[in-house]
Amino acid sequence: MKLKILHSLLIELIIVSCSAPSEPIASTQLDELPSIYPDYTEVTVPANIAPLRFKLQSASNETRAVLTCGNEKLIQSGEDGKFLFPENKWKDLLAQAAGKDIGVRVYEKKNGSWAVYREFPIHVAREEMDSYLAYRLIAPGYEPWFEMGIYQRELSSFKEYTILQNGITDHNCMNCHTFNRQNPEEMVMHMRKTYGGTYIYKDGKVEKLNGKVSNDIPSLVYPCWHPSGDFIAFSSNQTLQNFHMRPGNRIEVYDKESNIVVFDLKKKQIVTADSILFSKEAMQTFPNFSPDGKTLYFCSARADSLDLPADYEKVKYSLCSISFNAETRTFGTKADTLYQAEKEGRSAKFPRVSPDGNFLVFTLSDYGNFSIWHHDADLYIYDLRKGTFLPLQAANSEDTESFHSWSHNSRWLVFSSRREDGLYTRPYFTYIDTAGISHKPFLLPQSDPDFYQDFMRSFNVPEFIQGKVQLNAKELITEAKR
Amino acid sequence: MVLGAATSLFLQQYCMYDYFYTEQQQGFLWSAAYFRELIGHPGGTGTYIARFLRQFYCLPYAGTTINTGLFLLLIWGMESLYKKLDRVHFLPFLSLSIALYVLVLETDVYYLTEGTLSLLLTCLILNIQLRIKNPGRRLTALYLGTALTFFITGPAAFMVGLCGLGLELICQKSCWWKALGAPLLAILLQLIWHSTGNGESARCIFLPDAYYESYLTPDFHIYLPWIALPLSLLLAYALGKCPAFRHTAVNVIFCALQVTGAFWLGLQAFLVYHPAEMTRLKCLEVHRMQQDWNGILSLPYMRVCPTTLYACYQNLALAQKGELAEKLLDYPQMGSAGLSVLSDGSQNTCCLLSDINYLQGNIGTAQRMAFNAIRFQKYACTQMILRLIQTNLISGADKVAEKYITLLEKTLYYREQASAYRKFLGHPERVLSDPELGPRKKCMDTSTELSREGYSDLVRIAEANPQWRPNLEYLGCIHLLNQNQDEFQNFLSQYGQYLKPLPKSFIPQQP
Repeated sequence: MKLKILHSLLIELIIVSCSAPSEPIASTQLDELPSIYPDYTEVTVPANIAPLRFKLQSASNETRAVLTCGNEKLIQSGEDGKFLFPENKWKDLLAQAAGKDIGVRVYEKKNGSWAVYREFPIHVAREEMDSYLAYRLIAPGYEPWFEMGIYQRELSSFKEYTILQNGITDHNCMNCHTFNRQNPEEMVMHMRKTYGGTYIYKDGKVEKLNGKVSNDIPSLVYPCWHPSGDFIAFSSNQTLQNFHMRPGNRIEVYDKESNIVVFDLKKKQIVTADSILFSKEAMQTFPNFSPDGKTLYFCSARADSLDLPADYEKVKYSLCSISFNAETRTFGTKADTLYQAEKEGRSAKFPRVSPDGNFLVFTLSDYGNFSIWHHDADLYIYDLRKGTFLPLQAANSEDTESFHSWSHNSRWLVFSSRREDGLYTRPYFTYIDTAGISHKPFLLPQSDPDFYQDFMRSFNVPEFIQGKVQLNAKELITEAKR
Repeated sequence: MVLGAATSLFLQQYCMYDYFYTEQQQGFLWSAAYFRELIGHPGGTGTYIARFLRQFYCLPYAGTTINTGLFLLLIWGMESLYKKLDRVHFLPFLSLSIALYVLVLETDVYYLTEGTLSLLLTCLILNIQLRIKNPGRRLTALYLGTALTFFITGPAAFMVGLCGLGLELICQKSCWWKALGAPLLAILLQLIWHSTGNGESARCIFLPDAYYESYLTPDFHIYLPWIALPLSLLLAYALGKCPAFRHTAVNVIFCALQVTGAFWLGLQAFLVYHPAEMTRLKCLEVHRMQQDWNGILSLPYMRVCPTTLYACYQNLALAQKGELAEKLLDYPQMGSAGLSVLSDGSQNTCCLLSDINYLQGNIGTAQRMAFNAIRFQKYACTQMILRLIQTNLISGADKVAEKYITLLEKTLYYREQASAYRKFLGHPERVLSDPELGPRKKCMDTSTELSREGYSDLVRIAEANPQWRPNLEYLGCIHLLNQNQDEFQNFLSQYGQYLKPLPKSFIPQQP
């Protein structure tokens, strides 16, 4: 008899432990939204994003989250308030939800009975985002560095792969990884100090350009591929940094000189333009080609009348454009100004044209060009069809928004933001609709919702890519040593 | 027991500061994420265990006890191997000399305890192999042991495979060739790991370099235990073929000679790899970390052979005691550079400069130096993470201060200190009224002018908060040590009112 009871108890235990949780019946309806981290309430996501795992911050009791879209329902019990949605069930739900909303109900047991928070939607866009994101992970230190690396993350899962880690390159500095139209097979990046130089990864091969090209061009810095893949525009900057004593912006990074040059990948030649892009009177930086390759956008500031670093607050960059003829390798003789710093009062940087050619997103801050250290930096969108610009209202925050990159379909923008804590840069994604309006952004989801709390590295230069970079790190080092 | 007690006494006497110092070089978090982060790659488990052990080094006697334990375990592990190979003689020289050498290596700040753990694991697996009679099971144990060593401690796997093959060759001659795959397995695993590009450089995957700070190329000396181990096994096997000494007295003399020889070698290694200069620096750093200012001032070499760096520690100690201007000239001085050295980027200098600037009220530079100090290892240098909490609270960056508080709350010995700062989050008025943070907040210059470093920053701090005496004392001492009388008189006329009673060295000397 005892055995039978034990047996049935055991079976019951197995059934209870194996069965999926059910949706609780709430005895209390709470009026407020649940306080969750990351804040995924009412965000817009693509259908190819990894599970938006979040944590109910106030959770001290049993919790449950119910996600619904049509007939699909995903019920997840919380573990210490964390809802770790399984990838397969999340994918099933998203497959149903493209172009619709997912309703999220969060339940919490309070005084022995279930209470439910106000339901919130997660909007799922019809358009997917590019499948990978490349970024550099680096401590937000001031001067020296130690560990850093360039990584890529599969956005539909939590898998992260290393592109290159400086553990194998004598802990040197590596930066400015840039792709040609989100193509993972065409990448350019720089390394400094050991193995210093510019590296071009194209057609499965790595080629090194020497860092110092000539006396006039001490270094190649911010790159942009010409859509043909035959040219890369670089700024050549003489960059310095100083430090603030007052609270707020900690570091001031500024250029003493900067010019723009174009490297011809076929002829292995540097093409310098006339005085507009290469002059002592002005500093030109952040080149960006239009999708048709006929226009080069860049930022320009007057340099002749400034005493740097004393006048650092007076350095303001305008947003300009100039025509480019790829066949003759020549630039136009006149530049157009899209954003006139002297008139508008602020400083523009990082122009990035959407692949459909309709919009240009840029960063505006009160002065200077290194906006990641400027708390006032925000993203703006320029409608190239109308010639007007507006702030990306929904994407911006009280803190820094700086670098950004478009997805190939022009509907998604990834950008770096310091809104979490004012120091560590995190990648956010925002949906940009056809009218150029941004929607509430979401933080790159991680397997553990607490990930960002413990993570002591910044996500630097987030760049969308349409597939996985297959660069062989050893091949790059072999090329570097040659 | 005797050996353990003697080792403990020696370590406590001569290496105590090494262990306190080492504790700041790596961090250990009590969190699942930290566990997952380390455990997920070859060698990570060894790192996890080593860091777990090292977190206790901040406690008195813990470093000594743990190192004595590792030392005795190593001797025991190797002795059991030698006994299996040589049943006739007692060979304390072999185990003692290797274990003593490793003990010395442990005092090298860049040596990682993972190396010692991997030697222990190697001994354990070889012991298991020698004790299994069944050839099939023995080989299985060897192969599994090789793979396990690779996942736990990384490159030591090759040594396990190689020694395992050697033992099969000399002890189990019939099927030794079946063990050929063990070192090959280790190389294969290392190659696979190397090909992924996720690991460290090749030397850290294939060589014992993995047991040394990866950004440094170690000297040959860290390879010695790994060369000595297989050679000692061969020697033990060869000696096992020799007949035993007939007389007990000869046996005793042989044994005594071995012990003496081993200790002599250990002592030589200690003298070579434990340089006095480094020991002094560690001692100064530990006193600074423990805020034992009297301890710094009482160190004899501060007066005997002063350097700019020593003068910096000495003057910081005086300043912390509020006696910098009072007793400046009672101590040897190295000019104004002895008040604040130039940063060479090393962790020591960055920590020291962070402390000096924090005391002066130069919050921006104190924070910058703290950042520079923590860059070498994630979660390491906890005292500088505490500094980041302080400086961010002072500058009003509460969110990032909270991040560092949360981080330190995952450590065993710094969580209380970190939690104590929680009460300031979102309460700037509490920061202002706090005796430590408040006056420093008032030192923050509100102009937009950039820092020019050094003297001019101190002037700006003095203008912002002339009542902050440590800064004024440093400022006056700069003039004094630069022998700039005019500037000093100007300084006194401007700030003398805030320095009453005037400290001894600031009182004008009568001709």
